[in-house]
Amino acid sequence: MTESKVFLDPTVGWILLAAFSALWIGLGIYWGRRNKSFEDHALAGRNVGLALGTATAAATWITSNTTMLAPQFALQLGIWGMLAYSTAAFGLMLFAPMAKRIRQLMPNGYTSGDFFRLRYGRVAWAIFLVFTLFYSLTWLVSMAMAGGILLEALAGIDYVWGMSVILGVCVIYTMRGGLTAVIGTDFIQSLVIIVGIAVTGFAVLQNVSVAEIHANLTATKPALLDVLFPAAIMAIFNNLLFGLGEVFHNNVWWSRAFAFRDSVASKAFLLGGLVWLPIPVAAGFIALASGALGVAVPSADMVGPLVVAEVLGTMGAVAIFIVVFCSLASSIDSLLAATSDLVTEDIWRRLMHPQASVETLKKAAQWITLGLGLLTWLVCLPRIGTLATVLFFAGPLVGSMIWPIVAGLYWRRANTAGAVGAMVLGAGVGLFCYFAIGWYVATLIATAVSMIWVLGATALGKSRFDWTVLKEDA
Amino acid sequence: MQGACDRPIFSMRVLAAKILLACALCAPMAAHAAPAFTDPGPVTSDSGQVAVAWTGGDEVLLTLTKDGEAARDIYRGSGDTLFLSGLAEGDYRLDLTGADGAQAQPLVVEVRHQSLTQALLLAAIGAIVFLLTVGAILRGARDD
Repeated sequence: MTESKVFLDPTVGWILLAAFSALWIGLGIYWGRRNKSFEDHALAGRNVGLALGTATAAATWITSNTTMLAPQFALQLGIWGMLAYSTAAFGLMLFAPMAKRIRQLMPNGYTSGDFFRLRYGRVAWAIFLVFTLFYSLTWLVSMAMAGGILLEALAGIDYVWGMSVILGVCVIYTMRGGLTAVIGTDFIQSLVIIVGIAVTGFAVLQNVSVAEIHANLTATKPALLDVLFPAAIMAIFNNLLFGLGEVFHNNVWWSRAFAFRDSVASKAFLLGGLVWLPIPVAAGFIALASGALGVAVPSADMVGPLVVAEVLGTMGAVAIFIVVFCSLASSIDSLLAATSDLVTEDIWRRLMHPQASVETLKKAAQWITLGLGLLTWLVCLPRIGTLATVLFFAGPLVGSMIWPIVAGLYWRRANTAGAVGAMVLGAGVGLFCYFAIGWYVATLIATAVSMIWVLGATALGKSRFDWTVLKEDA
Repeated sequence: MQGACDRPIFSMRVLAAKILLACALCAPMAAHAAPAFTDPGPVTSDSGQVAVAWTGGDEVLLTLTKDGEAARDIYRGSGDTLFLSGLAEGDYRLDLTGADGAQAQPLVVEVRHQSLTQALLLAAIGAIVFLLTVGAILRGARDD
């Protein structure tokens, strides 16, 4: 990130930050008034409708990565890179039928950890918890760090202040309002993000035509239009499977499957995926126009803000600031809520306080959210730049969990040996390939190894799982 | 004593004059230091992208020349970094010129894309894994 370039006056930046912070906290407190039990707090009373469900699915998936990394992907890997990024939508779309199945099998479930514990036993559950907490915490840290860095780059707001404010705001409204507040704010945030990106796309097209962009790319960046661009081809399925692994295993999505009404769970994820699909394409298109607009790009991750500031001026800087703030908040709050629920349900309740009342659980979840926020803040404080790259190690971990989850949801013969072996072997081989070959094969190889192991273990397995075990009482 | 005193005084004057002269000569050089690439190269890339950084020169002109093709200006300004992407396979030369005409040692960039066969093979494996995953989900628990 080039931090010397500031797009917005710091005073304007602080005013925007204060206004949106007050809005999110106010709404969080307002929406959280009705939460009485852990079920209200963690799962919004299992009564979320289609509009809010679709919006929260799309908004949570629109992270700062979507608005900042999608343009970077397009600039580095061209048309294929842009499409590769948008394939992450398949994660949401394929989770749609799975969400319906999850609701049928686990009407009283709380977390994805519940599934692993009941379906595969404690060893698989422990491995799952290690993998998912590593992924969730690194994602949370990378988002909070990105918040501080982006606010500093966009408006000259000091990194520590920017990171602290965005994290603090999300912690406060998630603590007070639980999943209801997260989903409600997601609804507003998704609208802001979609409108912001659409306006920017049209503004770019007012300044330069598609024919000019094509001509410029052909002359100066021909590989970006090349159908046989090797680096981009390799990124497609690696990215696709990374997205599938992220959605299939993480409690961010499972908690929503439990929270949505029975009849809307499947539709909400499908529509959320369809809403999300064009966003990386629109964001990527902005980057491809940089050459035709005469925008010199000092570093790949700054291409989005640079082009927006070029075509929209001060208004563009305000728009990108709001879009980035909304996309960061919509992801940080979801991660805070889902991870604290996972820790509350799977560790605090199941391992330490099995007799805890619903009111006590709600309080525990709130304190765990605060603790998680403080831990994230402490890790982000020293601003260790390489920390965010640790998230990329998570690719093989999440890829190795795809098949144990899919097989575990649909096949009685799927068994513990298959799940444990798939996760350990898949993640191990994937991580080895990450270092031995490159990032672009890690998730792919991990998923392939995991899949082969699950298929083999299932074919050889004699046991038949009793689905009613998953209907554990709350 | 006088003679003994004269010599040091003379030496001090000479020394001061030399320092002043050196400062006078160095001052313009500091203001318009010749530009230079941070990484002298050659730089190799297997994805057609290169991050270029340089020092010196308030205003610079960066030109890119692919072997056998005409040079083209790719940057003019006061920045000190530029990200290039989408370069086709081949050998390139980057020339950096300061406002006063001073030129940096050219930077050689070699773009050798990764194996297309390997890329297609990985894409084929990825497609198989993905299609089997989709198949398993859409087929559901029909027989179970």
